[in-house]
Amino acid sequence: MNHAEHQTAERVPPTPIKPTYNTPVDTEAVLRGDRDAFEHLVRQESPRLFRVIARIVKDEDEARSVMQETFLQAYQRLQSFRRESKLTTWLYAIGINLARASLRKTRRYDLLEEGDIERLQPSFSKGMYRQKYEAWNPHQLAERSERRHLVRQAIDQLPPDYRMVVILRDLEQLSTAEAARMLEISEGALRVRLHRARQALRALLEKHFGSTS
Amino acid sequence: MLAIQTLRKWFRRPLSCEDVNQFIIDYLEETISPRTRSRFEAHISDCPNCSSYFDQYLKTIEMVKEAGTIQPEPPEELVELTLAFLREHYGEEDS
Repeated sequence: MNHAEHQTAERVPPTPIKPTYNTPVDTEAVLRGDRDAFEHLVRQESPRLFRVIARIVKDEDEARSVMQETFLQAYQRLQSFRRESKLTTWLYAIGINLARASLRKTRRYDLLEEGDIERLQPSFSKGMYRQKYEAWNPHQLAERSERRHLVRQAIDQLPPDYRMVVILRDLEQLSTAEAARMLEISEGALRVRLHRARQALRALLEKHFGSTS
Repeated sequence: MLAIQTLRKWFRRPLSCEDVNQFIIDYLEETISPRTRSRFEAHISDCPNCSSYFDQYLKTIEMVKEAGTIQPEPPEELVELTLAFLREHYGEEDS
């Protein structure tokens, strides 16, 4: 065994960030209040739930605390789960509501407001766009890492209701139906909000990627 | 009879750029009728401004998805801390 192999053999493996619990959560056992089954749910959903909450509250410590409170509330309110959606959808709805409440406590003033979102929508005259658009040239779209940074900055500026639809639909790539249930709005309302959010993002990115920049 | 004719005329009229803009999300989510879908596509292929706007809209979605590949890293001890927190509070619930 060479030196490198020896080191590998002796290295203690780090605790996995994403646990590999492939067996499905036993929803019935969770609903009966079985702690082992509930803890299986915690292990399985923690990474993604943390990610969604962290993207909403934009603070890792706060995200951790909101996530723990989410699981606790879910456990305490299991009897109120009405089986109208998946258990995980219900869990995420609790998490999103708690994240939203956390944002209200620490209101940030660098966010766009509803009026700004309206201003960022395209305007029309007699059914035609007032502005001329040109296709963005992929070669103008900056370096990949810079591009990702600019896009994240733009997403972070969106008001929470708009940011949440983008997080659930475009970042987490959930279905419209599931995202709508998590946000407790209709699918039609979700589509309207998502369209407005994407159009606002397009306008925010135009100054970086458009030919008029 | 007149109302039906007016309605038919309305449905046959070409879509405006504003109509097309409103249909973008339904087009992408496949929640429009095949007929509206064809009218949408016909307009996009004939209107350079709508075509460019639609292209920018699609690139925006693409870039958002790309940005999503950077994920907030969960703290390594996250699961264990959460379970410890819950075990502490299960007790309160049971008592």
